[in-house]
Amino acid sequence: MTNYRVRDNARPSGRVVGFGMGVVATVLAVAAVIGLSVTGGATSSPVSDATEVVSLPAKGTAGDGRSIGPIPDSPDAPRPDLVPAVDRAAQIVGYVRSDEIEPQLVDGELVDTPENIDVVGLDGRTVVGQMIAGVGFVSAEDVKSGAPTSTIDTKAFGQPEE
Amino acid sequence: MPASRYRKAAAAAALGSASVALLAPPAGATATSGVVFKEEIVLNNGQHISACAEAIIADIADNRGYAYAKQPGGCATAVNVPAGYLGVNVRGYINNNYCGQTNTLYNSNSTNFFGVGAQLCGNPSGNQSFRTQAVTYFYKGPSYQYNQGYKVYGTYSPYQTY
Repeated sequence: MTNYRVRDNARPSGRVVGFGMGVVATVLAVAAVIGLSVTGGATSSPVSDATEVVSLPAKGTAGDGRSIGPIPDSPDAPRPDLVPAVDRAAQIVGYVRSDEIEPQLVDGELVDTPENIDVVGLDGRTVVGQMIAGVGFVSAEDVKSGAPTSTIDTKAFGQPEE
Repeated sequence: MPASRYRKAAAAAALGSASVALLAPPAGATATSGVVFKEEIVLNNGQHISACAEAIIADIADNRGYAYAKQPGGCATAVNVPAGYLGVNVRGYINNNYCGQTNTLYNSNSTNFFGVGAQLCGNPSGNQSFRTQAVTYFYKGPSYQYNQGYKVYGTYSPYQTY
């Protein structure tokens, strides 16, 4: 508007010119916005598509927006896909894959993970033991030898009689 | 950021921190996700229910999870389902490290809720942060009958320090 006022002062017809330029500027501005939108849409479409293809569901989501809670981020995790596994004394014994301890979306439905899962070393491949449901961590040697393991005391609640 | 806006942001952050501090449960308390609505489902017997779930870290470092059958429309009114329709396993975390999970147990009588509890993590001296993930099953038919179909939901408790 300051520019228009200068022009207005400079020429008697400046008001008209200023108005005209204002209109032109407005049209240009609108066009620019539209152009930007179109351009933005055109250039961002492949990016959006690519994002859809390569992006994984955020931690803690089922991929369809239903929250299943965040997978905890451990300060002891060397990689985002690994979660440190601890024994009954709370000592880190290896790592489990985050997608093996979190219900996963399969064909649009959440399915649970296996009850017994491998515990691996830092390379994410070498099996150092297993997390066994109702037991906890069992080393690979004990799994192999079939050594006796102590089970976790599990309580059940809420079974009123009919 | 302008100084005034920065101050406002800082004040808001301080207020937020104060609110969090005020709302955070004291050490030694029980922390619960609350009863969370998951989905309305239709059982194979034609019964419509709301599937609701809760994850708790109870005194002391006790991982608990509950599956609730409720009348459709939310989690307010309980409704019984036959034996074998509700299943739960819980997973434990200490300092965001994975401690393991219980076996999946099922209700053996008609009930409107079923829960499982176990101390899955060791509790070494000092302050440790604990958390529970409840994995709840809502079977569309008795779980002991093969391939009746089911829904699985994961629910996390808040963190609790002991």
